[in-house]
Amino acid sequence: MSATARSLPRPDADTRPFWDACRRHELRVQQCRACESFRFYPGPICPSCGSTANLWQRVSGRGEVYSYVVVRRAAHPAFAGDVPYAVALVELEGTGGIRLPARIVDCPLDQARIGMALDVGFETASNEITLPVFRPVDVRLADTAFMLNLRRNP
Amino acid sequence: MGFLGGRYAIAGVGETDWSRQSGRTPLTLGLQAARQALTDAGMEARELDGFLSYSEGDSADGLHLASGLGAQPSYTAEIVGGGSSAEFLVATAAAAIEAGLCTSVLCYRAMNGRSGRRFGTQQDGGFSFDQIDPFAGFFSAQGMTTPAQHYGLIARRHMHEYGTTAEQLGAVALAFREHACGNPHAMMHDRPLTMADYLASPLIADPFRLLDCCLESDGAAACIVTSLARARDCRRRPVRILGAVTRAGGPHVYHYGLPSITEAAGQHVAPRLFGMAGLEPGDVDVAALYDCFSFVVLLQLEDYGFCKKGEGGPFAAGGRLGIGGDLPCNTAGGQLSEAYTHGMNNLIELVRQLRGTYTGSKRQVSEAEVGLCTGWGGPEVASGLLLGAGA
Repeated sequence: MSATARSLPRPDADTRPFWDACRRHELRVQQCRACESFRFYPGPICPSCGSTANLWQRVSGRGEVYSYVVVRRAAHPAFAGDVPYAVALVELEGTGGIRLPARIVDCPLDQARIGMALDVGFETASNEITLPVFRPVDVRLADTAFMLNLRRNP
Repeated sequence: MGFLGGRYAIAGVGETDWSRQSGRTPLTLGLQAARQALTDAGMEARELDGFLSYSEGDSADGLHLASGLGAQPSYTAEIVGGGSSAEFLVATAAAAIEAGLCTSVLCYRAMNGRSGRRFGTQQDGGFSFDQIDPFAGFFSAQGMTTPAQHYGLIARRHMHEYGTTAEQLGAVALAFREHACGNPHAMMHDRPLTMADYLASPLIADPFRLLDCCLESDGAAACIVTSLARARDCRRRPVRILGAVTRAGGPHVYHYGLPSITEAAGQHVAPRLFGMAGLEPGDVDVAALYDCFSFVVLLQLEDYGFCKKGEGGPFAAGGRLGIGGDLPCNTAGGQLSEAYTHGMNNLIELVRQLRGTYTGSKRQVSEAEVGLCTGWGGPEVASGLLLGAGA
């Protein structure tokens, strides 16, 4: 790996179904077949009921910002071209409150808010890894971001 | 009564100079801090038979340190970890002595945290969460690679829920900087700080500014744990270990999935810690609260019971953390303004306060009999020690 490559997830037996789904542009969350509770991080046994039976439930991809941080100084050169950027904990609709870390994209950073409604999208990072990202449901924000970006990179 | 019947104590403390470029190996730094601690205690190196340290693969292990001191160890261990490790080592040292595995233990942290492996950068072999956490890829691939970014998420939520402000975070940075200005050994000695300076410092991991973040330091800090009986024959007044909770976790390692992410793992430590020692937050005369970031101090003030949930900001802004305040805290400058060793330097300053080392100067906290030292290694794991001026 070059010095400036970003560190990508290394899927293992527990996490591979999540990343495989992302590659197909599907957002899936692990769910217990017995008690139906969702869980994150993924794992082989339900912490609530102990069942080892689970499935990967496809979810709507809608969610809202639970919290977020705006990275204004890149700690790693791989992200130097990205700053400033926002990473949120996205509380996913229909999952009983699962919160997924992901970039907020297509949004002016001064418009990012806790509680803001988001919708999932996908960005290809490598042959193996596609990352979930989230953009505002409010298309006016996406339009503003598009125009700002156009001004910077005509 | 208390941890192991109150039969164990810290008998010696020592540290190197703090710098951005030590020009020495972690082994040399560790040996220098160890020699200082031995001199402080009035002990011979060959008396040390236990060696405990923590690192992220950036230190010198106990076998090398023992050899360099001319000591022969019967008990050595190196744990992987940062914050929450110093308290873990001290308690584990006492437990090992109680079990008959050794008699006197050197606990230390040696690192070139600025000139060598810089925590969180992933550059030049620097520490990466991916090395220790199989799930770190969920964050690092999104561009979250540093502790500041992680704690920034919690701080933003705390601001949202409780109205915590930048100025309240700044109050922590200012209080500790003032302490550093009274400590000639501190990296930020002679660098006084105003609120205007603080607010003008650049946003790094917004809501955190540069001055919300701890230093990066080269250096080493060490302490010697032994029986209270042995400590009573040492040069300094013993500091007794009254309570200890070691690297306790919250309800789930994925802290961000808990009902509230603004509760610290310390919330689970505090009742056990105070209960074990038969003490209450109001009994604490001087504190060493883990301060990788200014905000982390606010959370611990709440979760160790010094104020109500959500009131950490107003508590700190009320000037209570200064020497002479209600809860003098990190009186050598802390990791924000003295040096960053993942907690060990805060611990040894607490020992000195409880000994009355600075009696006669304005650095001494008056009537310092009970001290609290907290460690926090990420939202999900925390440690605590209650220490008492010995007799």
